[in-house]
Amino acid sequence: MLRASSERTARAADLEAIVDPLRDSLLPNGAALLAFADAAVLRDGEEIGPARQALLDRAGPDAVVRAAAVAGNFEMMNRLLDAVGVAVGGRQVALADELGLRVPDHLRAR
Amino acid sequence: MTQPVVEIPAAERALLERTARSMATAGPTLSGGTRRSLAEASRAAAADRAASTDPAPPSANDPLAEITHRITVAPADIRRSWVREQEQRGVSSANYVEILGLVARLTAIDTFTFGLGVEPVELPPAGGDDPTGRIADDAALDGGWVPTVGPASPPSALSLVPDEHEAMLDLHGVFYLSIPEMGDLDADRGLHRTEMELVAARTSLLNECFF
Repeated sequence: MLRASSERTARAADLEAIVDPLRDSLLPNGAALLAFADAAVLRDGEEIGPARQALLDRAGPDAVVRAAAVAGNFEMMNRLLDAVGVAVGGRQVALADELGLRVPDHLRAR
Repeated sequence: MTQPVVEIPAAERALLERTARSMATAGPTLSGGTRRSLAEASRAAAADRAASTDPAPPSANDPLAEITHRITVAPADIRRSWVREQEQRGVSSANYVEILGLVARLTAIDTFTFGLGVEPVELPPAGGDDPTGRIADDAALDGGWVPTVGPASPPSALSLVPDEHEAMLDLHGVFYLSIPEMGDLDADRGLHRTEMELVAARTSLLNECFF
C-alpha cells in the first residue's frame, strides 16, 4: 500500500527504507516514523521516549497518536494473518523479492 | 492512566475502554474469567519478551495458555500442523479464533499506549460465566487453516467468530482506516497515507509478516 499511495499521490518514497531505516525514505518525517515504529513494536523502554519526542517535535501530537495507532493495528493484523495462514499473493511475493526478503514457503499462495 | 505526553483523542480513548471491557466479558466459547486470565497471561509474556528474558512457557497441559503464548510472542512461527495439533488436543476452531482475536486486539491497544507513554489500560473484573455460543454457521475452510466466511483474507481472518470479527473491524477503523476508507490513498489522519503505510510496513517487517 505504500507504493500504491506513493504513486497515486505523486509523493516520492523509497521502499528500501522499510528494510534499511538508515536510508532516506523520502517521506516527510520518515526517519522519525521508522524510529518510533521500531521502539513501539519492540517495546523498547529506552528508545520510545526519545523517539516519541522527536516525532512530536517534527510532526506534532496528531502524528504521534496516529503512528502509535497504526503500529498497534498492524501488530493485530500481522498476528491474524500468521495464525490463520492467509497466503501471501504474487504481488506481495514480488515486492518481498525486490526488498531482499524471502516469503516462507508455508505462506506462499498455491 | 498516567498523564500522557499527547492527549488521546476521544475515539481512541473510547476504543481502549471497549476493548478492555471485551477482554473480561464472556465470548462465544470462553467465560469472562478465562478471557481475562488469558489476556493477563498475554501481557506477562509480552513484558518478558520486551525485557529480553525468555517468556515463561505455559503449562503443557493447558492448550489455551499455550495458544495465547504463541500468538503473543512468536506468531510467525505458527504452522498449519501446530494448529491441527491444538484441534487434536480438544481446542475447537472457534476457541482458537476467539483467543487469536483477543490476543491480537490486546497487543494492538498495548502497543498504542506504550507508544504514547501511558500505562496499559486496566482490565475490569471478569463478568459472564456462560459463553455466548455465537459462531458463524456459514464459515468453511477456504484457503486458511481455520474456517472463514468467504476466502481467508485479512478482513475475514476472524469471521468464524462474529464478535471478534466485528471488534477487529472496529479497532481497524479507529486506529487506521475503515475497510471502505482503505481505497483512499490520499487519506490524512494526522499522518498522510504514505506515512501511515511506512509505519505499517515497518511494523510488518519487524513481525516477519509479508502483507
